[in-house]
Amino acid sequence: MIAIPVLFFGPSKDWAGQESVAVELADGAAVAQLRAVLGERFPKLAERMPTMRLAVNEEFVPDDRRLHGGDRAALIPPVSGG
Amino acid sequence: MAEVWVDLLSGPIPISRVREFVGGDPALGGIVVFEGVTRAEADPQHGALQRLDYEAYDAMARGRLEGIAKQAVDRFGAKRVAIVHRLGSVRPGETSVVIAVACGHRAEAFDACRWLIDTLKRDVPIWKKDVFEDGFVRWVEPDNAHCPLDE
Repeated sequence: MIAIPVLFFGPSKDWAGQESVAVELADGAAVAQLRAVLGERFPKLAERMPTMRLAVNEEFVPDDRRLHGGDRAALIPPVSGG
Repeated sequence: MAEVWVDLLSGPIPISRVREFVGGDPALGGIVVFEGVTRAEADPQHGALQRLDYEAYDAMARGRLEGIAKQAVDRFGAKRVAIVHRLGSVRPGETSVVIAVACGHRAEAFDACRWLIDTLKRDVPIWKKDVFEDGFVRWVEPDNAHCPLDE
């Protein structure tokens, strides 16, 4: 198992009720599995999950990206800069 | 060799310095500077907008700003690009973002600057809250809330 730290930003911080969480996954689990675990643990995130992107090590990644020890994830709700 | 400057600042943006960064090369005949300014708005229930509160995923936002600035170099032939975004509280009438682009000619400079602000608003991890007169606070929902992963 690996523990992936996940950061929440902007509105996702409010929806999760915290700034970060560590998620335990099997080594090589896909980002889609990380999304599923986050949705189960934080129901308010679940309904918004389709609008949010995942970043790993500060880059946007697709749902089939495999996760390994040392990866750092972040949930990126729709951005509103500018 | 193209020159790029990106930054996130917690105070007022030194707009003339952003403009100066892209200036000074007589081969570059088109300079476009875009300023995004907090618009005065009012909500029927909550009164006048007092300010916007911006926050960022700092390291990733800097990386994405650098990434899109370099893409503007590749796609539009921009020779100098500066993007500076303000974080924290920004009151109506104050500038929250400045983008300056210098190219050989005006057409590419306009295109690159327009593409940069559109891409920033879609892909750079920065968020803002509306803070109203009566204390009501809400996250700004972007017009296009569905964000597919592109490229």
